[in-house]
Amino acid sequence: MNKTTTATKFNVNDKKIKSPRVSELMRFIRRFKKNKRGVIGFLMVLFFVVVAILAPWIAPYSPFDQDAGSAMNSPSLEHIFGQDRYGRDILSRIIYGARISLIIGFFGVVISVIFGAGLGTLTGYIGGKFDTIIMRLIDILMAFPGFLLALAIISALGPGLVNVVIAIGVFSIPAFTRVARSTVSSVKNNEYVEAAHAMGASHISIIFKHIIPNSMAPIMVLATMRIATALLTAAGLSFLGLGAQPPTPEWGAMLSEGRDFLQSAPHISTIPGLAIMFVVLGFNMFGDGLRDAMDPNMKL
Amino acid sequence: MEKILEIKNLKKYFYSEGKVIPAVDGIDIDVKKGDIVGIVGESGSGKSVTSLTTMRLIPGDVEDGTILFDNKNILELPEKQMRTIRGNDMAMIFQEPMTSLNPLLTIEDQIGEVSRTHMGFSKKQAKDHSLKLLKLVGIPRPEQVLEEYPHMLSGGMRQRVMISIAMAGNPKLLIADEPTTALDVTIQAQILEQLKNLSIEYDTSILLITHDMGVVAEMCDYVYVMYSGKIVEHTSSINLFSSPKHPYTQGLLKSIPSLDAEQDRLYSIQGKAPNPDEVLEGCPFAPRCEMAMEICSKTSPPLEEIEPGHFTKCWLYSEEEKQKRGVR
Repeated sequence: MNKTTTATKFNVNDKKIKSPRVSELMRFIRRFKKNKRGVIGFLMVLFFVVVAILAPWIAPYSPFDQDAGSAMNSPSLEHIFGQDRYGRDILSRIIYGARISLIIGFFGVVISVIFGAGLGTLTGYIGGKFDTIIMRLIDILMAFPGFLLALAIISALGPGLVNVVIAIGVFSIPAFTRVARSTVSSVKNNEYVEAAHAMGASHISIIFKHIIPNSMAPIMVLATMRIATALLTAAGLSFLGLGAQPPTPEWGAMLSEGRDFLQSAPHISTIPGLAIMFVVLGFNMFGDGLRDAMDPNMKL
Repeated sequence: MEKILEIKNLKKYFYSEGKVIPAVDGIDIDVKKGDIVGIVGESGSGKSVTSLTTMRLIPGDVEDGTILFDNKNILELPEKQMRTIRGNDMAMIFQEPMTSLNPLLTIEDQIGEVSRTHMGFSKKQAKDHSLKLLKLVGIPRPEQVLEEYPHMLSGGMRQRVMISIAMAGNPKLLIADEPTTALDVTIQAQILEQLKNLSIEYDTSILLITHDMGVVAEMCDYVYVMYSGKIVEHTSSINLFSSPKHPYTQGLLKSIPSLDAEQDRLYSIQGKAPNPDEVLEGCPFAPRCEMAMEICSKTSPPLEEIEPGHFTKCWLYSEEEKQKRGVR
């Protein structure tokens, strides 16, 4: 704090004076940069995101072009990751698969943030009987093992990518509700919330102006980590044939396609498996780093 | 003079584990226009509950009583209408300046919120208004402070910001709940001075909640002394300091260290304040009172005017008891 005051003193007539909002962000970035694991995680995530966005430009082949003559070829110079049972280039399929995996992870988590965190914010803010009822319902939802719940939803809705996103969204809702509820119920006891009431602010404006911004940090951290879980679950569902349908280049589906050839052509399964591992690892490390940079005492 | 706030027989009880806790038990408080009125009492005496109930910031109904603000019973107003009063005609300053500001919003956003909500100001108008308010409360380099975040300000500065937020709607009544408790003594004096000036300049009445007799002496025109949810004495602050009547008030005043007299040990009132959920017969102060008589533990004394403009709730001053003790 001392530093800021002196800094402002020196920069009074300096045109390049930084606004406090920027300096706050810079402080966060500085803190985040200190955490090597977090930075590595972030770079891994960034790498996959860039690959996903640039897929059509960087993929050497089409992910769908078959070449029966060179089926199950091991990695070579032309096909760095080798070819699958139909002779498709695995590298290209991995690159396109990054799009699908990240989209599933992202939208699945968006669904759970909107419904889960939204519900958690409401119950945390309102409290009382409403809170008790909603949280017991959430407890029931939590009693199901996550993957089983996703399986049940898929079997009700039918296989397909959109339904996978819905299933994954629903299965993460309880986690977000609980985190949002506990954060909100502590944030709402802050004096600035009472002060806002005393200033005549309405409940809605208090929730949006004071409660939600001050409860964001743990939710963002959880979201980052939950993308990893979502991705993994999606891969699992696709592995079981409930998610992406062939010939969609989904990593879990690719893993599943290769499992008959584990002995003769192990690269077909190994490479998508490694891709899943790295992206999950990346998101988890990034999430840990975010948590440490935002609040080392945060428990998630 | 016209009264801005008239609390009549206010009772606010809390219910916990089957027990009734009479936090505020039938009090009457009047605040005249432009006056600074103090409520003094120790922790748990019900002074904060009184102030929060006056703002209607405590959920649940009151047991009994009316609160007339500007001749309207605010306890009967719908919540929506109450919101237009809060922050506008009636504002509040809290005890903890360190936590009373949202850490994620700039000072400009926080002061401007009031004028945008209540007066429909545009962002530009709100900014000008906020700047004016910051100057009013004597903040150095106000233009820069507007763009800063609460963590960049000291406790005293933050409390000034809180005051400027409270003054944003030009309130008729300002409720200050221990506004200087968290601040060091020099800042405390400055903040009190500021409040006093604002009160005079804008003809704003202040209801000052405090446990500090020094603050009362410095600020208040009129004082209410609260003990265990009840008013035990009220009079002008000159009267109170020159001739305190209730043994509790006397004890409070005696426990202030004096500069001229040498003292080894500070006077303290023996015992501790009763638990709010204890049911006491008679005067709640009786167990700690040095002057306690037989009647004190049996029946609670009435709040009586024992001298013109001086009210106290103590048997010591009732005619019958005086006769019994042979006091003329």
